Amino acid sequence: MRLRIRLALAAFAVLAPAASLAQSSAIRQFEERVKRDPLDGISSTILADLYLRQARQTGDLGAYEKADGALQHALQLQPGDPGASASKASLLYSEHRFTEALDLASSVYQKDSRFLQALVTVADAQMSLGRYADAEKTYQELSGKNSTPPLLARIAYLEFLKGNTEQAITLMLRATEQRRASDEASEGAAWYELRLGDLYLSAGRFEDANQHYQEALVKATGYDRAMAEAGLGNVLAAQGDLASAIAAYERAVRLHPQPSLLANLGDLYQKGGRLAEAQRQYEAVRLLAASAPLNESVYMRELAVFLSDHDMELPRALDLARRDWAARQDIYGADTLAWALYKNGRVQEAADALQLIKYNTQDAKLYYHAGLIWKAHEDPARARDSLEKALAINPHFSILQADDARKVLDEIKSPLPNSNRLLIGVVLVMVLALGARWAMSRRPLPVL
Amino acid sequence: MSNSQLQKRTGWAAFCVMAVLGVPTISLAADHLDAPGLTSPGGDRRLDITDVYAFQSPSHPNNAVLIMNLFPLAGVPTPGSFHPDASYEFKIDNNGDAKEDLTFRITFSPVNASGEQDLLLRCTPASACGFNGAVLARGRTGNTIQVAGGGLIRAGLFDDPFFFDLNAFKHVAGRTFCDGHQTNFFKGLNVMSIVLEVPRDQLGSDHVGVWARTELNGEQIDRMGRPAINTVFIPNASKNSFNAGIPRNDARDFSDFLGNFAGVLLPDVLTVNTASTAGFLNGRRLQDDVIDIELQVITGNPAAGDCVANDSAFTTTFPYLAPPN
Repeated sequence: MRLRIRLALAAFAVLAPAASLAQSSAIRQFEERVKRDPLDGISSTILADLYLRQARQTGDLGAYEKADGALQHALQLQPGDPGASASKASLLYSEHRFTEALDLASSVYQKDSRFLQALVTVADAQMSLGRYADAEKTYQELSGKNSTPPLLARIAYLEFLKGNTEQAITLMLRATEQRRASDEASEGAAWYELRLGDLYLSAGRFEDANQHYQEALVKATGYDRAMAEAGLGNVLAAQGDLASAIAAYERAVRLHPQPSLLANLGDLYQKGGRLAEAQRQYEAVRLLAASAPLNESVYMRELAVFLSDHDMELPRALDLARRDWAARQDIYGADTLAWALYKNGRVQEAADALQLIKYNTQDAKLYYHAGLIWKAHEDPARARDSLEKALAINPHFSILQADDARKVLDEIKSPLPNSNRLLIGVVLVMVLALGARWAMSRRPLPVL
Repeated sequence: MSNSQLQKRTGWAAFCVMAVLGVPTISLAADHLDAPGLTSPGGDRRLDITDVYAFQSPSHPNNAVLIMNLFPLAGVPTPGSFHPDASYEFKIDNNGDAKEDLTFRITFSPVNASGEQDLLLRCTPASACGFNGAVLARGRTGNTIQVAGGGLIRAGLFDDPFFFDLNAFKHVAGRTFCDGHQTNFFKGLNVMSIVLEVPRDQLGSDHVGVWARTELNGEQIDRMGRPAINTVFIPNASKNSFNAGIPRNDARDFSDFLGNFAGVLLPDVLTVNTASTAGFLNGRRLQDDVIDIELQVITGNPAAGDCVANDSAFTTTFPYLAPPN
């Protein structure tokens, strides 16, 4: 245990990869400005934006706290300042306080429609809250004002959720193309390649996914680099090259030991029969996700899914899933809730939760969950449809669960009652045969 | 946890958190500086004009210098650059009708691996430029380039020459000008600049009106003549339409906002007599305290000002601006 904690803490120490040089020097510059002139609220807001950017790019959650401090200072100096408020809304969003983010961003934008950043936060919060029709309207409003790669990428994601994966890929390709032709240095460029990789991966198009993850790897630093390695690991795992997949994930985890990456690495070890190593990763996931309040709130959903997937602390998984659903009512919130309910044996509630999923998102994992829930609900026809759908979308959608989907599907196709009958038949035949042999052996000698 | 699903989720979560990352221009644009709290026009700092200058060259009195500054907070945190699909223009009106008689148009290639861009300078129309619309200069950002017919051009990162107590203007912490806490917000900050020096006679008259504009895909994204007209006078709801406007319609479209000053300050064209070495309101030199002068014009109080003075070390020779911080 002590070793495990040490490992987790060591992981923690590298949790915050260094920000880029330009970023660090800009942060230093504005920290000094704020220190030199404590009444310079504008610099304080800029500093907060720099911290937010750092948090996003490096995954360093501590930078959110610094951003919060800088914004509190700015808003104290200038209550209601729209720039600081817009940044605050974006921070609230990052902390998964979606309703508050939505309210604040809406009020900023209503007061001054030039704060497109606030309108972007409005859309993002609407997406997280599952208010997809509202989000679509907000996107339309944004399109009229600012049709940029980030906006295209958002619309692409909405299309993906709505089940239009091909359309999502087309939009994302366009966003990536525009981004390549654009500005403001290469920071953020890797992110587009990663999203394209993810879209292709979820559609089971591994070669295309591989190409974009490779592209991301070239462009990425820090956090994005870890994600690119993980993406390549997923492709390799799907292609059956377990050793290389593990190597890629080990690189990813070294760069950024995020809970989801550790969990996937654990699954890869598990699949390769390296059970002790798998357990170590799983333990690290739990420690990391619970190590700070902000970590738990940011990783709440990931942790709920992780615990459910691995049949660990299932009551806690359900509690986390419920809290996550209370915070955001999007498709994956409903899926996480259904999955945790199912794992806790609450099949009817799980089936009810499935009804909360608003679109036919072409994500194999959603269909896998539904398949298992319908099976437990004794609806084999729906279970079979769902599992077949999952495997049709992506036959290698998960390191461990794709195999499980196939196994469960086979069971449904040759239903248990029949196999029981067959078994009874076989046993009967054997008993009869043995009895016959016994009888034969006991047969009285022929009467001469 | 299984691969693609979770990867995607965390990816998108990171993205949403990146609300702004993807949109760096939107994020920092909230702190756009020539209009406090403004979003950069077009959501792109590269197209955001912060200041325009026009003055007689102190070292070559037969030349006129035109400077357009862009990209507020250049280098924070991403390097500044020019938009490769945009056109950056100095408009020159040489007969006082607020309509351009000639245009110096500068365009840029995409940024290369060393962070440089190729630059092209053209002048139109041929009849007014005398160069048959040909390319007047061609070179790299960060270098001083000879202009055909005499003159120089240079584009790149420089110290932001503007000086102004922005916090006091915004009444941050209840601050006001000259309250003892005055500071030049722009000290230590950089901008992307285009500095063009041409023979005065090439402008067609000693008395010209100058404004700068950025254009992308046939759409005007930003424009500017005199300092801070949009910032000070135009209400938030109309700032974007002001940026999209053209000087000859300014009196018609925006007079209401300027009241008594409309006659003096509109159209938003920087008028300059290039035969004179005087500064603002004659053109605008780098060292001119335009905020103080405008405050004096607006208030009628000859002592008005923001108590902030220039702190940059300008030179008397091309490119005149101070090197980047």
